[in-house]
Amino acid sequence: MLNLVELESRWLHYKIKSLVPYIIFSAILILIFILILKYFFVKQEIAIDNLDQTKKSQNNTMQKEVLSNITKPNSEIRLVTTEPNIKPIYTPESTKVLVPSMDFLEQMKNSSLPYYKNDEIQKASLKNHTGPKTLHTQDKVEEIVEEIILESTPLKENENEIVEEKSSKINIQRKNIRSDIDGIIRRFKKNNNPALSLFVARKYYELGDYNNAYNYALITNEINRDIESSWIIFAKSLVKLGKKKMAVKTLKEYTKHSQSSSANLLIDEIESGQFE
Amino acid sequence: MSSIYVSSKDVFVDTVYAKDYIQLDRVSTIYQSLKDSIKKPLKMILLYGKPGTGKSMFLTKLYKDLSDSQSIYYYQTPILDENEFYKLLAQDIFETKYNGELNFTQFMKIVEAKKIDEVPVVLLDEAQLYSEALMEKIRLLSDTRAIKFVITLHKTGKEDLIAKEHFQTRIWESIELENASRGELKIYIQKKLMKANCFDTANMFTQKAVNKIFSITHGNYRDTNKLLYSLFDIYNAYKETHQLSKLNTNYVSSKLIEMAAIQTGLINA
Repeated sequence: MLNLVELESRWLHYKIKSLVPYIIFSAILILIFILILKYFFVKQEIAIDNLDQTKKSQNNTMQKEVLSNITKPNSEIRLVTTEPNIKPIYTPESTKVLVPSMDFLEQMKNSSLPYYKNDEIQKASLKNHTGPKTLHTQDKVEEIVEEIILESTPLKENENEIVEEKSSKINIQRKNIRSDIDGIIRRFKKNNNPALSLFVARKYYELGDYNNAYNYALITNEINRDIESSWIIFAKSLVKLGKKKMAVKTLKEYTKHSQSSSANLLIDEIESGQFE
Repeated sequence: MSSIYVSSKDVFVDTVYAKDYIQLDRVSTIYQSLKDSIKKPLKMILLYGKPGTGKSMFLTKLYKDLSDSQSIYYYQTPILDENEFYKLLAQDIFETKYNGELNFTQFMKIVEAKKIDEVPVVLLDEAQLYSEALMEKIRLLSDTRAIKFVITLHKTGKEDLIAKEHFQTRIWESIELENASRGELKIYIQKKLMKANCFDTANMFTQKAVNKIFSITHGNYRDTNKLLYSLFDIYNAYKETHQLSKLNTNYVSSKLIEMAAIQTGLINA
């Protein structure tokens, strides 16, 4: 009679023995696989670390730059922060940085000077207007827009008061407006707030002083290129000054990136002759 | 009444009986060619192959098939003594009983004196065990065409040398027997079992089980017989110890085949 227990134990022993090479081979394969994975992970981590370090160093340099700018006077800060952020939106040649001509303000103090003596200067300024636009300054622009809203609310109240006064006492009102405008211009010279320059442009336009309205709208656009009403005043002033084509061209350039319905409406009105 | 496992086990007892001969396509073709060769005027026919490829079974079958129609003599175990060899041939073929010593010259005289119309066929199994001197005498005897020899040899380097040196010019027909292929092995096992009416156990041999057997025995008939004998012995042992329920009796498992191989020594565990 066969000893089945012994035979089974011998078979089990044989089975384990025969499986050992496969187990070792599989274990080696798994080990190699794990090592390869680990190698790639480590490589990736090193790459990520390097990237983080470069980012950190970049951030540090940026922070340093910002800190150094903060320590400088306010006027200098404006120059440092705004200038590098100017990037073209419309055309490549628009990388030119526009520097608004503030001469007329000087001239305004003494007497009203003819602003449109030189057509070439005008054209050049218009060209520059249609061109430059900043993408980088988006945050900056938003901040400024907020400022406009905040600061423009009290202004609007004033405006209403002025309008009310205008309707009742015309002569006195005009004087007040002029003196108000001068006061606002003084304030504007101090802080360069586009809300103030826009207010001035609007008031000049209302008074029929289209040259000054054009100039202040131009200044406003120069400071902030996203104020729709500034562009509208600018174009309207041009139309009033007989520069219909230029007004349409300017508005069209503006609508290319702003999708402004008011600007489009005004273009239609100018072109159809409804607005003259 | 013995169980089917005992009956199946007995099928694979290692014996050389013509009745146990299993007809396989390739083997049948070789057998037919051997039969045809005997009818030809050949001096000698060499049947060679590895141990367990069925050489002895071939000679047994040939002897059984031709003994009724032809003068045929089968010597299963080698006669190592030369004198005894001649005396046995003189007695069996030429019906001459010789009491004293009989050498080659004396035997040749008997051959010449007793003219036989039909050339007798002598089947010598395990010829590799004969001495070189005797093999030389056999060669000379075959040259006289008085006796036709069919000899079997194991296929090894040494035996190949014997075949080349002693019989190269005389062997007109050499037939090599080989191990069974996987397909042949399955047919061999199933036919063997079915011949003994063991249909249930014959159906237990799936191709997977046969492949396993083949991987252990390499298709060698003798090793296969040994393995299957041991396999059914194990089945029987499980049955007798009432542990058969532990096994799946629908097919032969690899585990039992391996156990049988360990038992027979085909696997060194």
